[in-house]
Amino acid sequence: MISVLSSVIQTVLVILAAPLTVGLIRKIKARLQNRQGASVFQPYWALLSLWRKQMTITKYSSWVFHAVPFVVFATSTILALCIPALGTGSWTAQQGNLFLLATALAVGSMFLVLGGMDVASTFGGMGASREMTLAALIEPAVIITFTTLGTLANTWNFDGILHAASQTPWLTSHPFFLLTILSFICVLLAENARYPVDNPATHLELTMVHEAMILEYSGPYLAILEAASAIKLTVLGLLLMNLIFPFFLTITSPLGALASLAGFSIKLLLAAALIAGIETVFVKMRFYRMQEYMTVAYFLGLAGLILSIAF
Amino acid sequence: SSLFAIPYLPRYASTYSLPALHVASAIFILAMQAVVLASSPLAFLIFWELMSIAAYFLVIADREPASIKAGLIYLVMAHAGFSCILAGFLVLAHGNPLMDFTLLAQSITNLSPAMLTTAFFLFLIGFGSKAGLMPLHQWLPLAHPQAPSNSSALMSGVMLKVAVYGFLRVTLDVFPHIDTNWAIVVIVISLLSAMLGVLMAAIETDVKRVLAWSSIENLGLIFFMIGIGFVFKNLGLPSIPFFVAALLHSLNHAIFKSGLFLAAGAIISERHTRDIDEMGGLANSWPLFSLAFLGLVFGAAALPPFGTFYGEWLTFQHLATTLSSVPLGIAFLLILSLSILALVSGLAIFTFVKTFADIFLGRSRTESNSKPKPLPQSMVLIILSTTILSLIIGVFVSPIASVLAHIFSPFNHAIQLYAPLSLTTETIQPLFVVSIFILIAFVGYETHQSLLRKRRIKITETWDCGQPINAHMEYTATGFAAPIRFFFRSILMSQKHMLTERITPQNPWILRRKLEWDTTSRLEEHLYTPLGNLVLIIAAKIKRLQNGIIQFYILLILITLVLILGFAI
Repeated sequence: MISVLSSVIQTVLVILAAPLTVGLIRKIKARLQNRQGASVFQPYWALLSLWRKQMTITKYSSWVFHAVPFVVFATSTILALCIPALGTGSWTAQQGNLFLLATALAVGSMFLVLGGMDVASTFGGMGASREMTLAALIEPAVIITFTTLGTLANTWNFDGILHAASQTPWLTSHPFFLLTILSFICVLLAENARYPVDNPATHLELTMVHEAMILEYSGPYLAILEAASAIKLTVLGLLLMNLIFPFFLTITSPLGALASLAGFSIKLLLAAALIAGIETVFVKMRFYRMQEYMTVAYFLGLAGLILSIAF
Repeated sequence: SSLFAIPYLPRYASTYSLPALHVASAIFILAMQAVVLASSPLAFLIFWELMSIAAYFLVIADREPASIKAGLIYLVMAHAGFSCILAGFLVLAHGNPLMDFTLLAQSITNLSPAMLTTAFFLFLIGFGSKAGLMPLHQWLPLAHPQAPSNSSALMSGVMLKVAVYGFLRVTLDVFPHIDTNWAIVVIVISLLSAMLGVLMAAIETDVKRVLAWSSIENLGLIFFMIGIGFVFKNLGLPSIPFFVAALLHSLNHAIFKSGLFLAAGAIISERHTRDIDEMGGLANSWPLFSLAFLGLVFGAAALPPFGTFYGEWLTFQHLATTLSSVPLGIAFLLILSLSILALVSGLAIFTFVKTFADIFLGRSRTESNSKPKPLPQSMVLIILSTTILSLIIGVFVSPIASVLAHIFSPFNHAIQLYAPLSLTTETIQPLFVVSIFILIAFVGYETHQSLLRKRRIKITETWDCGQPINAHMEYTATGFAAPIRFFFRSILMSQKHMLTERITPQNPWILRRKLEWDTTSRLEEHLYTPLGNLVLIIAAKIKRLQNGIIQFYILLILITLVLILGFAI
């Protein structure tokens, strides 16, 4: 019972905090670029006003177009349910097999792509083609990183993995775990359409992947899609921070719960700072050089996995 | 599939000779069943040959030049494969093909290792060529698309599985032991086939050829599961999950591939083209059909909650779990296989998303097409039933897997209808996965309805940057696959020719440009053409024997007789 309650609370917390992550990233990025930047709570207002607006939908689209926002939101929610944010011991996180979650990521990008193709516009098709290519090519890196986590923890769900990590922080016990972390950062940036894979801020057709696919969405559907991508970003960012700093992950006692809540806020801030930092330092890569990025991500993960088996 | 033929074939009554087609189909189905039932190599071989010949007549059914060429290539490959299987059996049975499988298994225990190795590779070539493994795959993407769609469904769905059955039957029942080195050869070949198959499927734009290449990919996966199963068996690790995954994947592939071929047939009969580049916009006219197709796409891309996912999941999970308990060399092999499988599954998703999106979504890319007529109910229902069957396997995967595991170890597997799937140490609960999907559908539908009720949806044109856009500006399947063609250009070696032509001879700047693609595999050029030339040269040399002198022929007969007698003694 406690475990079910714990997973519900964690998921709701992540969903509520997700727009804040986006706001934090934008704020930090603006400050690093000597700009004032909008309030960190701006994404909430944006979502709210989108939700109230009327939708315009192209006459060429079919039922698939209407199904896309819900499926994409659902896959993000599944990630939020199955990857613990606050602490270990939640019921849904114990059910979520690693490879099942990898397919949840794939289903999410697949439906975004279908939404992009269902509008009879070149922009949608362009983004769709690029997104699907990226999703296909990042797959080996995803599987290899997940396998490393599973092998190190000897368990195949994220609850067990974070539990094992919190016993002995892997970065100190296995220094080569850093390679896996780097590979995971590459995966995170690619999956969330951030620099250097995609530019989340523009609608320029040279750079856009994610934005091109959701170009025809408006009003409530757009709000759902934006929220979904914010949730995915938050979940993966928090997972990264929890792997680097596996502290404050027990929420059984009231004190522990408070500590983990504080840890949650700090980790969220750190994740946002890391992504904002990467986006300030790196430039967007040419799309046709993406295979180099994917290869680097894969070989980092491969090295991490082989070392974790050998030692 | 035969049910599908009832509404489907009359549409092509002018193209095919229908009575002949029915006879060929009937013989084909009968022969495939007989192969599986055969208890002796002789019966097996006879029906195998019958199956191949019947399939040949299905391939050439429309009597087009392309079909006849494809049929000829198929016939040559089928017979090369057949003679390898025949030779394999003869090597094992000391030239006596009349004993049955159990006797055969007893009699070969005293064969030398070299003989066993020869026999194994003869079988691998024979069954592998039928299953479309590299490098003997060339006939498959030529022959399968040429047959009528309901026959393609049978050929891809069932005939390839007969090859899997033959391989398993021989390797598990007859051979006392499969060497690890042999198994590694199987693994390498099958991974190459899976990789090449999925890459070609990703860049192909002919809908039936996409499906044929995807069959090569899936057969590669199945043979991989079998090969890695033998490696694990020899290492003393649990190998049953892999064999179960292979059978489960065969079953799933038979269902979703049949469904996809039948659906492709329905689409082609409406659009009168096999080129995905010219399709689009079918989802609005055929919503239920497109939903069924999307389900099959989920099956083909191995996504939950469909059955195919669980076969691949078993493989991934079992590979990953055993990594830390095997020697480092084997672990490296497993990691490499895992990465290739991951890339293959990623590209499989790419392939089928491309296929679905370009056939069903957006608007039709050729504007002349009028609004498609509704499909006959019976055709939609048959395709929907394959989707539902695939889903049912996904939901009840644990009892099915227990039954399959029962074949390999007849104890210790209680059959429970709703239990989580647990052949390895990890478990997965199919009902949990399915309920998530039902929940998504329900919440999505309710929200959509409430938005409709509040009149907050307005139907407009696509945003066009201020100037009208038309269907030719949409991304085609060729365009969609361009990044894949670019990233894998060193493997695919596809060639792009820019043809330029001056519109007015004086002006060098105003040009008409045209792109031409050549995506045929270089393998054909480098392997098949020299081999074919070699055969022709030898044939020309042998032809000199045919000199028309009767005494010379009698001498030849005499020499043959003496040689045969010499071998027999």
